[in-house]
Amino acid sequence: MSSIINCQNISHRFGQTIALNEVNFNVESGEPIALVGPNGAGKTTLFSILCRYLRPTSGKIEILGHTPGSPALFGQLSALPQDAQLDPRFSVMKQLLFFAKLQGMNRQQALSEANRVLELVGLAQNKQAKPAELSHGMRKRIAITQALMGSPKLVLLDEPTAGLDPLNARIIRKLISDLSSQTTFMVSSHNLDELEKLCHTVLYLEKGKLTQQKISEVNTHQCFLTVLLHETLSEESYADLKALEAVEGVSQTQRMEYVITYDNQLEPYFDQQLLRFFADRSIKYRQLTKGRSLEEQLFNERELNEQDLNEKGLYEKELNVING
Amino acid sequence: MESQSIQELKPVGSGKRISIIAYYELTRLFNTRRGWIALIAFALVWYFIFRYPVSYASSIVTQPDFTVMISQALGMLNADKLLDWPIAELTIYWVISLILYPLFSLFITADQISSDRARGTLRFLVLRSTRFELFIGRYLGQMLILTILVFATVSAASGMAVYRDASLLSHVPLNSSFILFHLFVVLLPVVAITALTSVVCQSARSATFLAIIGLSASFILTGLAIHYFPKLAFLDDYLIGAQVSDLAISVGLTSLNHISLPIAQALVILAIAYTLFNWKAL
Repeated sequence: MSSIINCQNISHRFGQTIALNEVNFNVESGEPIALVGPNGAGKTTLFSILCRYLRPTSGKIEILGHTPGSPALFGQLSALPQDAQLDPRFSVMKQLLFFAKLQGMNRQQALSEANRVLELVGLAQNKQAKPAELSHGMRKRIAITQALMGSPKLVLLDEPTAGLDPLNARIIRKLISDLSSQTTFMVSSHNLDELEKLCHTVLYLEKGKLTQQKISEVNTHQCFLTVLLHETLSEESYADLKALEAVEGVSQTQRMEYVITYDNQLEPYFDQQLLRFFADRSIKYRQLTKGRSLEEQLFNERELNEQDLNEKGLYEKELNVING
Repeated sequence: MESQSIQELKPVGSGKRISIIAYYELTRLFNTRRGWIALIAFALVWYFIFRYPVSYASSIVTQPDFTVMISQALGMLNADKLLDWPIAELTIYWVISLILYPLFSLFITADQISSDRARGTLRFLVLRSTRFELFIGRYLGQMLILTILVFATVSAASGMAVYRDASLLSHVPLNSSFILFHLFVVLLPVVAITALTSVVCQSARSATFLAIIGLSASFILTGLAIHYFPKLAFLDDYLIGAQVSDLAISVGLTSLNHISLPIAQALVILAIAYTLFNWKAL
């Protein structure tokens, strides 16, 4: 795998405010990458620097071996910038043709490429519309189409599904998933469920600091199961569950959701044991997930203890058993 | 992700991208409602100019008051040299254009950067072109638009002259080209000013106002400075449009003496504007 983004000691200040503080990371081409963090963490600033909308106060960046803004990146790096809008005076098709020509396509290629990407997001019927005639969700999907034109090697998507209805958000997720074998996507979002489905690597930004970087396959004996029940466990069942031999701990993360920590070496098929446990007590469950949710990994763990999540392995290969 | 033909795209040169951007600027004027409103206003103004001053040009320029009036209006000496022009319609057109086009260009060229930056549209573009290509492409696009408009109106004025007297046809190419070339040069720094204000401002309207205020302020402040410090009188020669009154009465190759100032002004203003644009966050 080749390095697609290399950031060394990137810092950026807005006056006295430190937006990014000595950020270092290296991303290799391949699976989609999630960029996560609370509001004001510096996610959009980082995207803006990668796209050269903004110059970093200090630090060095290479994207595909070039500095941001280099003509060598035209057509190789594309992005969905947050809140950027197309020109309301021109039709969608006219603007896509303009972008395609700048990327080096002739009129015929540009036409066919614009039609192709509009088909991808299901907006081929709206190609002659002006952006102001489209809904917010449609404008967002149009903005995504421009990022997919040509053959970009890296696509940065800043909140790609924000403001989209569930159906369209699903279409965009599927699109990213389908295209991720040819293109590396870096996706910023507050929707952790969405990122969990798409990405196998997470960059976690907080207060301008990149505090976590890696998601790896399970590498310890300690494993997790997340179970969503139809009702809260009774005190008795809760105690019985904690008493199972392989169980190291049970935590209630939501009213009917529990995260069970167990020793994989003691009971490699603990998920089956757990299902039997539920069946014996007539406990109905809605969803059983091997591993913990990304939200659980990123936030609860940090609140509970300060142990280094990189060492532990942030992510376990997930197995969803959907009941009903 | 795409068809084989797209995979085989050849890299586009910088010049090609600049020309694509400049050409796209044409469509802003000729292919948008706002552009058409500006064009209709422009056409109406020129209709009245052609209907009255230009159509009566041959009688106007022969009136003894003409050169006095022009001298007072433009502050020029030797306005009687305008009478040497063989085509009266173009004489009137030339004098009016020297005032009207710079003013008009302040209004129609003020949206080179501002609204696209405020809207975020530039973020789509700078992933496909350098900031320099975008900046210079848009500037050249505006100059192209003005050149087309000047060409159209100078052709109309020439047509009126030939309609009045067909023997004037032989003078049309040289005189029209003279006007086209010199108006182009006169407009270079004016459009550079709007390029600068459009980098600084968030909307086309405020870019226009800032350009007008900036130009007015430069005239007023220079006038005040010269009034109190007469040794600064040389500053008058470096103001935008300082060469226009001399250019208006110059003929033949002597007119080329008046092109270096506007070109130098345009280059300096563009350099400042581009530097600002290149450092600004998008």
